[in-house]
Amino acid sequence: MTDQYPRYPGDRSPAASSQQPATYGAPAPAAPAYGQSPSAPTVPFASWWARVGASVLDSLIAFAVVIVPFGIGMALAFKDAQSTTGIDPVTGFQTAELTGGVNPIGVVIAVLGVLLGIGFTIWNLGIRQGKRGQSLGKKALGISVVRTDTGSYLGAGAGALRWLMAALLGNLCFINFLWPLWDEKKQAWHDKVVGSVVIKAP
Amino acid sequence: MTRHGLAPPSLKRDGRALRAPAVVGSIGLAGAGLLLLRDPHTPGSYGLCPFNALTGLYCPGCGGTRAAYDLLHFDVAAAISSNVFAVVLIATLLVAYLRWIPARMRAENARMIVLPARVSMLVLTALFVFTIVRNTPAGAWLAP
Repeated sequence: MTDQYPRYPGDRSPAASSQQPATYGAPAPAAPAYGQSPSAPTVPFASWWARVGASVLDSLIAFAVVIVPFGIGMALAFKDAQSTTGIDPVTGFQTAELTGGVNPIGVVIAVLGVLLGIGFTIWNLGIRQGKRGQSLGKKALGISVVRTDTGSYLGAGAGALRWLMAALLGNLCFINFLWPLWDEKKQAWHDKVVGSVVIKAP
Repeated sequence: MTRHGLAPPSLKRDGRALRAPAVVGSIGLAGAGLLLLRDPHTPGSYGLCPFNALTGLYCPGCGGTRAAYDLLHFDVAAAISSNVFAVVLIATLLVAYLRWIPARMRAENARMIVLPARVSMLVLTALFVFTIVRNTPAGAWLAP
């Protein structure tokens, strides 16, 4: 099986570029670029690095979504809070205790911020990725998730299941995230569960 | 020089093909260097296994760092008694790496290891059984 070796995050291989041939059935690109392997990859699986990059990007976006309401909420909640400090008689460590002044509205805003982040992640990594093949991060990296058997997108349900399995299996065992490195179809375990592969977006 | 592809021998091509093996090789050498500097037989010298710390049981990787250290000192028996799986893994990685370099000269995108689905299942099953057995009294020889 020949396919592109991972280069570095953000790299778009020729297969991933959005250039369409002028007419269907036009002759294949005449000569590969200098130094390129003459054999074109049959199935251009996404490189492991591109997937890592997309995942990092998705995390950063989710963080950006959460941090504003969460930060405002926390600041509001504890702006006028009072606390007393003391020394724990048993351990000798310094202790701090909230004694009041916590603004409940701030707490509500912070909690809503976290819920917003969870909702966003379910939409981005589950529903959007299932229906359109790409999370925002994968869109930026030019890779998408498709079904192994038909090559079509997963749909919202299977997409959500894939996200859930990734979170579950990844937390259970870190090797899940390394598995595409040596897997025949570059699948992680959560890919195998829902029957998906990650390819370079056509 | 005999080659599979149509492309003529090219230093530039080989340079790009061998970049990934160079990176992987450097990581391996750095790991080996670290092991020579810091003996994993000292408890906590590389931190704790979170699984072992939480449950008191051995995970499949427990003893792996010690096994690598023992192999570096050519003490195969001690390595096997620490973690036989790690010994097999390291040997496999070494062979795969040495075969990867000529494979890359032939095909620029050659991967170091490609496990077919059946082999994957076999490895995972073996790993699972290994984890169970090394935590039983009968399998104490598999424990680190």
